[in-house]
Amino acid sequence: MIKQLYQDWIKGIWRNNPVFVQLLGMCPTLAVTTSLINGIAMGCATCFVLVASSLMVSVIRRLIPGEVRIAGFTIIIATFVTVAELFLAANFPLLSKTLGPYVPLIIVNCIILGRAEAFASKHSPIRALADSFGMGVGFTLSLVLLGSIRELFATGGIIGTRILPASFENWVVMIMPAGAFLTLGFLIGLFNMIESKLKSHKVTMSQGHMTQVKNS
Amino acid sequence: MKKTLHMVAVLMVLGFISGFSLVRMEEYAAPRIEAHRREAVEASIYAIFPKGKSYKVLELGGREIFEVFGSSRSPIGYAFTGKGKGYQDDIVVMIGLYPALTRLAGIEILRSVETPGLGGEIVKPFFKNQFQNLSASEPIRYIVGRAPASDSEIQAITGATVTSRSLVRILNGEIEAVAKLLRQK
Repeated sequence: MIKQLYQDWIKGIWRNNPVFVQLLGMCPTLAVTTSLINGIAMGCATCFVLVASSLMVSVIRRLIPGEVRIAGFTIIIATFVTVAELFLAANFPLLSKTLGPYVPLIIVNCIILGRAEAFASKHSPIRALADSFGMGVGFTLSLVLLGSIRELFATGGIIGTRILPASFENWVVMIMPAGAFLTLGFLIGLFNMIESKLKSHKVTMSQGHMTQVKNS
Repeated sequence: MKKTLHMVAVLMVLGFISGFSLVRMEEYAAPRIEAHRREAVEASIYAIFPKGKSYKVLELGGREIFEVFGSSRSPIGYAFTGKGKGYQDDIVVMIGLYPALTRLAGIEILRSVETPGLGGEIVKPFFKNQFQNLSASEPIRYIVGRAPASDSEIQAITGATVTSRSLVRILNGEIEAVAKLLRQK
């Protein structure tokens, strides 16, 4: 049971990472990751909506008739998004100003409806919780990675602390849309490279094991 | 028929619960959001008039003008917001005028989504401080490629001429309109 939950959780972070593997939710991923703080805020807001709506969908999954399930999920998601938006505006006015229209756009983020439809509506609340939390953490980590790389090269530092030497000329392109595509492309490439290395490693391991078995 | 009723009922219950929780959330958030907006406006007024201690809201010609007071009883200036098209979306700016209405005290950008690193630089001191003590009796001009020669000129941002031009256009329009209202007062 614990192992199952761990599996549900961990797949969102690596094997089924929503950004680098499933390529879902590209709009907020590309648009708001101009800085680390923006990445964290967007990631957390999405994670909250994802977990809350997955849990809710899973709890009432047997009550919603199949024909109107998408409409039902959308009501639930939209409610949580509005709650998150109002909460941000009430407590972090600066953040909500920079994130602008992208917070309400979480409603149409395909990760959330995707997880509701593909997982939460078919599994128990506790498994839906593990799955959505894993996806939320995976999404947040990806946005943090993108945001910090872009901020580092665009401003020479992170959150106002200079990291690169003073002779480094800031790459303004990194903060613009083109920089988002460049960074995302390189990261997906890196992700695939590591993944295929791991895979070939596993294959040689098991082959080695096979020959050993034969020899004995 | 039974199925249809079931569908309608479920969606209605969901909608009702959702609406109810949103009303509660709005009740919690609305006063805070309003307070933040007011804080931002106040902060920009006092950034333009560092000696300002209080302000009074004047309603003139359907717009809000803030009359700013220092330690004496006569106003040390007027502040008002201007809004207009920027390069990507509306720019909202707080504009400060000295009481004689012939010189700008300064400007503060309240909202801008201009290109980061280019037009976005208008919020930086090196650009907005150019407007301090600028002449407002003739239209402000932006110039490119040389140092400002008269006191109604500002230097545009390299690579963001559209933003510089839009901002100057907003300022000129709003200053003229408000100065007219204040003179009629």
